[in-house]
Amino acid sequence: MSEQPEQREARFVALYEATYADLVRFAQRRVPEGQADDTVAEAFLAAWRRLDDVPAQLPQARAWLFGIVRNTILNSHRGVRRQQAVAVRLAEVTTTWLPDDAELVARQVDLARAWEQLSAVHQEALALAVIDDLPSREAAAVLGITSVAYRIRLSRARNALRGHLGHRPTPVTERQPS
Amino acid sequence: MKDDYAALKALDPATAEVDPHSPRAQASLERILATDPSYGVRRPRFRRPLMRVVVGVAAVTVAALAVFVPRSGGDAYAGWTSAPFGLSPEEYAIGVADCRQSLQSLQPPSEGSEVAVAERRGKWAIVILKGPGKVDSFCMTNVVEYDKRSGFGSAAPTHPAVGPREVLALQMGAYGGKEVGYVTSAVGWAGSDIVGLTYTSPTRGIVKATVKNGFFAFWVPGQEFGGPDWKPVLAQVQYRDGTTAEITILLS
Repeated sequence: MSEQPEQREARFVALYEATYADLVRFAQRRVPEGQADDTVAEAFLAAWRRLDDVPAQLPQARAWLFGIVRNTILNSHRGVRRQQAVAVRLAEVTTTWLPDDAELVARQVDLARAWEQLSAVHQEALALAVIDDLPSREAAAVLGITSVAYRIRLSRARNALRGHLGHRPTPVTERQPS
Repeated sequence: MKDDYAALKALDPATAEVDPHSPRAQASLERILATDPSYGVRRPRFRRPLMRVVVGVAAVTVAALAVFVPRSGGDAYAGWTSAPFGLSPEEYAIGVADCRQSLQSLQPPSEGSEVAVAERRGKWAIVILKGPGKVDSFCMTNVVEYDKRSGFGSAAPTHPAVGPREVLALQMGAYGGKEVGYVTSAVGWAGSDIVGLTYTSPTRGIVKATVKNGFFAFWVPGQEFGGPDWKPVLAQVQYRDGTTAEITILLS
């Protein structure tokens, strides 16, 4: 049975309100300051037109929407050179700290430097797991690749980050995301 | 590495509190809901019968041209201004998305293009998409009344070599019909020395074009040039050195 316009609108509003904050935060990590709302608005417009394609379950729907936001960002970058991945930015590390925070700040400075040396492909693979908190299956959906391919990419990204940090050996017990 | 990942998470630049019920979020939601969700994706926006409306009155350099006339009748262009205005972020996002969507039915496609110009006069916006390669395209859409949305678009197969003091039109002419009124527009490429362009309309006075990123665009309500009795279209241009000149807008 086909969906009535009112039902369709109600479904979209529920999706919008459930995922808006996550999408804005997702975009804030990937576009210059002040552009996240516009990027998300463009992505939601696409979702409104493709509502029948949105997965029924919220976690999968959210990942699908993340993918739309990512494609929106990629489209905005295309022109001179086609990009395959969206770089992820980090907050600036504060340089004023209490003595107790010195170790954390030092670690963050190292991380920020190492992060800048990562490729965009590795940045987004790591960010999806560590910052966006997505399980592998949903992160893979965002990137449009299989879960296996994502886990391989994530493993390589972790190794690359470790290499750029230039320190600690790999812990044997390190746990992969589910 | 666990400590590193915790530290990495602490460097998250995203805002902790984002409210989907904020005025901005709700305004964006309302604008989206006001659009027709069914067009553009499942059925082509530009339909062949509407093409007949413009044949004979518009001249284009293009590989493709499509037109979708307004539904709102004679007041469709109320609020038009002789100088262009910018778009709000929401209007910009929707206008650009709408333009890309509209041009999907044309060849060559606009996929991978960048926004070169987005200007608004009243309810209507002109968006020019640059590239990829040498393909440029533009469209005009109603960014205020989504229930009365309409527009047209065209795509040029090649980006021509434009002299620094030269203006070449990708499209110029009138569109529309008796029932809905006409729009006359000129859109194209402006040389690197050109920083301003005005057109003197016999009915509207001086019309200021948008000149940006190597492109120019302006439009006026009504039927002013184009058609079978084609006459040269004159414009006043301002060069980078401050001098001005009268030029003829040439169709590429």
